[in-house]
Amino acid sequence: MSDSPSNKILATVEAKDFIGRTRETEMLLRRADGEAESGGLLLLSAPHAGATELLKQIYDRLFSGQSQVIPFYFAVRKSDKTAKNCAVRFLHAFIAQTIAFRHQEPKIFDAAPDIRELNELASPDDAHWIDRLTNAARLQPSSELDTDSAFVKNCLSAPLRAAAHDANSFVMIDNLHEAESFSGDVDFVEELKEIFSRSTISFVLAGRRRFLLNAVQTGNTKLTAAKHLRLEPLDFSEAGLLAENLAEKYAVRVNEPSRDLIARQFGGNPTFIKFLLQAASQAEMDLDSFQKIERLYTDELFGGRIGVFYDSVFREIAPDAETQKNIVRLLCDAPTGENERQPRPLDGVFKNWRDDAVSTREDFQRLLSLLNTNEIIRLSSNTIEAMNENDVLNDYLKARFRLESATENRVLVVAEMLSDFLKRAPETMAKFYRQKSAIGLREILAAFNCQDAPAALLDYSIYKDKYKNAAENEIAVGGGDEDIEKIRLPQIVYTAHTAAFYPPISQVTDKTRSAVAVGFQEPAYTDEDEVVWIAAEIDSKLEASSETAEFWCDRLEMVALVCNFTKYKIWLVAPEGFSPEAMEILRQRDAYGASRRQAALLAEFLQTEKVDGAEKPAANEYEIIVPMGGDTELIAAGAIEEIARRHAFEPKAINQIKTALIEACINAAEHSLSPDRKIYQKFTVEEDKIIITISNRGLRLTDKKTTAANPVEGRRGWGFKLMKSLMDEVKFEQVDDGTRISMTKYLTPLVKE
Amino acid sequence: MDTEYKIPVQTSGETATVYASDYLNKLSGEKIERECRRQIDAGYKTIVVNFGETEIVNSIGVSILLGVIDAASGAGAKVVFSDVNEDTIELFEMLGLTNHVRVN
Repeated sequence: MSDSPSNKILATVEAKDFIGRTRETEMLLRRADGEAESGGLLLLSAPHAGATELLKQIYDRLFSGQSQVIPFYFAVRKSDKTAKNCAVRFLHAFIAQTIAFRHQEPKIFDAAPDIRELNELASPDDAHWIDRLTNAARLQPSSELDTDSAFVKNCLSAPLRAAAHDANSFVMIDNLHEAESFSGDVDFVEELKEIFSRSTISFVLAGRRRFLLNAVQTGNTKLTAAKHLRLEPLDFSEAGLLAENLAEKYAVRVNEPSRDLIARQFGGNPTFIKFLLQAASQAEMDLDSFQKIERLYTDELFGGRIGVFYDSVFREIAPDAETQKNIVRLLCDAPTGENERQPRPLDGVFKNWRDDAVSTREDFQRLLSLLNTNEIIRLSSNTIEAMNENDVLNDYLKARFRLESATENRVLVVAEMLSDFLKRAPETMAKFYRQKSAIGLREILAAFNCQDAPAALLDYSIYKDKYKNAAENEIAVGGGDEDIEKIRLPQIVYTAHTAAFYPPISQVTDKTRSAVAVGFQEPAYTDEDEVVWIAAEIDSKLEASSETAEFWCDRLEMVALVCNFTKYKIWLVAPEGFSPEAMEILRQRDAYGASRRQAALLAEFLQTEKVDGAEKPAANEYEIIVPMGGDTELIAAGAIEEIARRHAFEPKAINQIKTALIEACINAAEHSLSPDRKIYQKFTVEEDKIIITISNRGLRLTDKKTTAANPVEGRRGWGFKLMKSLMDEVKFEQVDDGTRISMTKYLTPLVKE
Repeated sequence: MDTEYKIPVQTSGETATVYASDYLNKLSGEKIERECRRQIDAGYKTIVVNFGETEIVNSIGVSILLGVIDAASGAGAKVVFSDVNEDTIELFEMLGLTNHVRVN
C-alpha cells in the first residue's frame, strides 16, 4: 500500500498533515491487510479525539493503495432517528462504496446515486449479490417488530453477504454512540453485534469510549473477543506539532512557548487546537504570546467556535433550554471554597431536579447517560461528578453559569475570565513542567514485584556512606551480590496518585509527585501480608531537614489514617537526600528516605520506564547557548571574560561579572524544570556598559511554590543577592515562559546607594 | 575544570589543611565538606581550607562552607580560610562568611 493517497476521498486533511496516530494507523492497516487476526476491533475514543478522521484516513489509504479489500466507512447519525433508517443508509453506503472502489472512482459518492443507479453501475462480478441486496432494501417491511428486526439484520449483514461472494471488505462503523438516541423497538447496536459476532470479516466499531465499552459488554450478544484500541487525546509533542502545522497552514505566527501553551491548554484535543488557529487566521492575528492566546481563547469561548461547539453538544443532549440551564447549574453550583467539585449523590440531585422536560426518573437517567457518554459528567452507579480535569469544558460551564444563572454583566464576566486565563497560563505550563520532571513514583512502585533491592537504593544513610560521590558504574546495585544489604519490596497490585485517595494532599504537592501503592509483602496475597506504600517527591535544595521530613511524614500518615491503611510504609524522595537528623526522624517513623539519584538507580534496577524545545540569535552582540549542568556555566564565564577584556573592563569588574553570570546560570538550572535544558545568553556591549541577558524556558520564578511544604531553606537563595551586589543593575523581565534576567555592568562603576 | 578532583590534605599537629579546587561549586564543595568532617571526626582542632588554587566560588559552594563552619563549631574546632584571593574575600564578605571564620 502506498503511504499517502494523492487525493483526499473521505479524509478532511491530507495524509501528510495528519499528525500522530502512527501506532493506531498501523494497527488498523494490519487488520485491513489480514496481517492481524480477523474479527472485531473496538476503537474506544475520548470525545473529539479524532477517531473519525483516523478512520477516514484509513479509508483513503485502502481505497487507492490496494485492490483486495473493499474499504467501507459508515458513520451512525443521530438524524437517522431509528435503527431502520440507519440500516437503510448503511446498505446504500456499502453498495455505493463497493462500486466506487471497484471503479476506483470516488466521484460516485458525490453523485449520490440511488439504489437502482448503483445496481446498474455494478461490475458483472458483483452484480448478482448487489442485486439481491438492493431487492432486500426495496422490500417494505411491515410494522411488526420481528419484520423490522429482520429488515435491519438484512441490511447490516451486507458486508457478510458480499464476503460470501469473494467481495471482502474492511468495515469501519463510526459514531456508534449516536445510536443511543435512536427511538423505536429495534436496537441498532444489538442487531449489529449479533450479526458481526458471527462473522469472520474484519470490522471496527468506533465511538465514544464510555458508550461503546458498555454497549458491547452488555445485552444479548457480547463482543467479548473484540480487541480494544483506545484513542486518547494527542500527547504533548503531537499536539505541539499539530499546532505548528496548523499555524503554518493558516499563516499564524507562533513561538515555542505559545505553541506549548496551546498544546497543553487544550489537553491535546485536535478539534480545539484547530478552532483556535482557524480563529487566529480569520482575525489575522498571531499567537506569539500567552496574552494573545488567552484573548482569542476568551473570544472563542464567548460565542466563538468553542462556545458554539459546546452549545451544540448541549443542544443535542438536551434540546430544552431549561434542562441545559439545570445541567450547567448542577455542574457549577459547588459549595464555596471547594476547588474541585465533589461527587453528588444521584438520588439527591434527582430529588431537587425541577424540569418539565426531564420529569421522570427514566428521562433523568437517559439525560445523565448522554452527558456521561459525551464526558460532560462522570457517572457512577449512584453519584454524578463534574469533569474537573477538562479546563475548556469547565471554562464554558463557568461562563454559561455566570451569564445565564447568575445573570452577571457580560462585560464583567468576560473581563474577569480573561484575567483568570492570563493568570492560569503560566500556572498551566508550570504544572506541566513539574509533571514532566517528576521521577515517576507510580511506575517505580508498580515495578517492585517482590524484588530484593539493595538497601542503598532506598535508604539515604547507606547510600551516602558508600556511594554518594561515586560514579554510576561504581554503585553496586546488582541483585546478585550476597554481601549487599537488601530490602524485600512488596508485590504491588494497584497504584494511584495520592490525591485520588486523599484530595487535600493536592494543597501541598502536584498530583504526579505523590503515589499510593497497594500490595502484598509476599505474593501469597494474605491479609497479614497486605501493605500500602505511600510515596512523595519533596523539594529541598540541600539535604532535606528534619522539619521537612517530619512535615511530610505527618501528611502521608494522615493519608494512611483517612484511608484506613493499617500497615503502611512511607517513602520520601528529596533531590539531595536527607540530613542525618531527618534520617533519624524517618527511622522513628519507620519510613524510607532517598535522594532523587537513588530513585533513578532504583528505577534502573527495577527496569521501569519513565516517560521523559529556543529563540534564534539576533553589532556588538554575542549569543551563546549552553546546556544545563556539567559546570557549563564556566564556559559562559570564560566567554564573558574574553568579551569584557576586549572592551577594557577592569579585572575586578570582570570577576564580578563572571560570578554574577555563574549565579544566573545556576539559578536557571536549579529552579526552572526547563523542558529543553538550555540556558540562552546574550551579551550586548555598548559604549559604557555590558548587558547580560540570561533566559531559560520552564518554570517562572514567580511560579515557584513557597508553601508550608517548603520550609525555610536556610543559607541557600543567595544567588540573587550576589547578582544584585556584583552588578550595577539587575532586572527580572516579564516573560510568558521561564525566566529572563537582565544584568548591566558599567565601565565606570555606578555609586550604589 | 577537573570534576574528578581529589581533595589534597596535609596535617600537622592539631591542624589539618584541606585544599580547595579551582572552582568551588556544589560538587567540589561537598567533597571539601566531607573531607573537613572527616578531619574533625579524626580530632583535628583547626581546619584550614586553602583557596590558593581557587579562582571562582559560587553561592552554593559558600553555603556548604557554612555547613563546615557549623560542624567544626559543634565539635569544638575552628576553621580558617587561607590564600583567599581578593575577589573571593569580597564574596565572602557580601554573604557574611567572614563573621564566622578567620580569613588569612
